[in-house]
Amino acid sequence: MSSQPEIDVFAVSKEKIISLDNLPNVESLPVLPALRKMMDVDLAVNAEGRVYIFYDGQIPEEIEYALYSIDDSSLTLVSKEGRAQDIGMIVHKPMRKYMRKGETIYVIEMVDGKTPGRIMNIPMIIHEIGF
Amino acid sequence: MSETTHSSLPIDMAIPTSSTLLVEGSGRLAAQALLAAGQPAAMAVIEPLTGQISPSRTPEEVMTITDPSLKLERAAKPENNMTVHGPSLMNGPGR
Repeated sequence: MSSQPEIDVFAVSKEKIISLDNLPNVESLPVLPALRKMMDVDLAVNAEGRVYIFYDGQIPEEIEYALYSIDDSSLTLVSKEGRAQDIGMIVHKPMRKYMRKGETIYVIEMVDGKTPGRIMNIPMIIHEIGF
Repeated sequence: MSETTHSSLPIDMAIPTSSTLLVEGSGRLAAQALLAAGQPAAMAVIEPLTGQISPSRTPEEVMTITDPSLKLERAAKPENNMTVHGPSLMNGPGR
């Protein structure tokens, strides 16, 4: 029997800290820790389906679009490099029917939690298999 | 469909109306943004872990809640939510 090189499945967890300024390539790290674990985040929607993410911190990479999965009630940000980052909150029932109406998300930085900083309007893709 | 952009927009363009917001999270960032936009919209805050929804509040009221984990338990008038139990027969604080 030929000996195969061992794969260290815990190699990533041995990295003590992920530096946001110097992320490894997407193949090495395709999914980032949930946004809410890194900073304060509010998700909001109004009756017209205008969706907002307010955050207080540094988003690691430029966001290309957001993916709202109706099946698992999750909202994931996808960067221009293709890296995924869940916001870290379940989209609870009262919000769902309004989120369905949304086509874009306003992503609003709140500097020090108080002052509006960068504000982007990104596309929101709604995904539903229906299982 | 509103036009998407990756360049920064002014806050009053992002929040142009004062229609009620459903907010999941602490609600404080959303409240600050509404105040900055000059849109004092009513807010109903949803606790992310439990999905429990609070009564509708103004941004100023949301900002006064110092501990987000307490926001759903606090009564509108805390003094009305106070109960004191104790052994009245022993000259305690019973009521």
